[in-house]
Amino acid sequence: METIAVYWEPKPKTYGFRGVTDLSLMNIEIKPGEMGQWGLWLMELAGLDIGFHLILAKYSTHQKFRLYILLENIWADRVLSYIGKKIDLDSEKDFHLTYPVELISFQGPHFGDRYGIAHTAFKALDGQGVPVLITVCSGAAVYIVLPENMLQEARPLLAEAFEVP
Amino acid sequence: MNNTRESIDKKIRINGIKLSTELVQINLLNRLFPQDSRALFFRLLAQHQINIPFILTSCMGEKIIGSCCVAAEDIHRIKKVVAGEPKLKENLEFIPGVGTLSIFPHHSNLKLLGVSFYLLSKVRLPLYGMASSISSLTFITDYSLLDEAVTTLLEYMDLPPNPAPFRPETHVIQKKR
Repeated sequence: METIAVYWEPKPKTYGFRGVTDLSLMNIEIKPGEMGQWGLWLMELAGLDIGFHLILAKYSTHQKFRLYILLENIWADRVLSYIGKKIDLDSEKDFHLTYPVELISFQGPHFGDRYGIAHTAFKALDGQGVPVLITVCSGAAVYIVLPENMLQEARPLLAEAFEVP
Repeated sequence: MNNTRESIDKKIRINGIKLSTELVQINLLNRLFPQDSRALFFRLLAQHQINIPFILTSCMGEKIIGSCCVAAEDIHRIKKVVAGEPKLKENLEFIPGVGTLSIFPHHSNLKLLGVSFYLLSKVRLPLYGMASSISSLTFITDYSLLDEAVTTLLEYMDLPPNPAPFRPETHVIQKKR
């Protein structure tokens, strides 16, 4: 059950970059035992037809699981108004909103099966004054969340590191 | 809490589920030199031609700044590679025996995530991380519990007739000539 592809690209090919600005990044702590409750709340939020650009959840410490939702800023007030009825939005521990943030995402052939893709992306941005807030590499896609005004800095650096059609 | 049938008024139609092979999760800890350790880790794995199929990193003051998954068969090589970098080695934590479950499509809507969180927590499945991709939601849990996770999710999700196999039939590996 194995297919070995023997080839090498000096620069990994992508299908192009997609940049989005004016986004809000919500960072919510899900306490132990509250995952089911958050599931129900997210289902209710879904009823408000709120779309997301990126979702991830990871442990921030060995006890704290945090959910990050990246969405258009136009939806932020609606989400805040809903979540504000469930948790204390003023508690930094429970909730943090970062606004505005920007997203650059790209995908390429078999990115999920190939070594070195993440390293190529990080190397392009490291030491260039482009802080990265969040990175997700999942399947064949790479998502990088950046602070305000950093998309214009990041795009040419990544375009130099990857081959763009 | 409402009962599930009221909250999930009808089954969600999905197009497929994919399960990974056995993986090891590696957490990158923010103890000594956060930025350098991450850059060094990804550089070393790239140099040794080791793929990282799933990566989450965040730079927002957390103690665990990144989590990634690698193939179980690569873990001995990775441990050997990082053994020469004591500071990096101290900042890594290994969770063996994990796997990923991907459901698609999510249509950029929160419902699939909400239903999944609800159902997976109902059967107390451990969740070590998750992320969206272009069309799928991917969850990391114990490899030995992936089938149970699928059974649980399919109580409230409908697959099309004759869905593609859940487990990969081919495994693509890139090698430098």
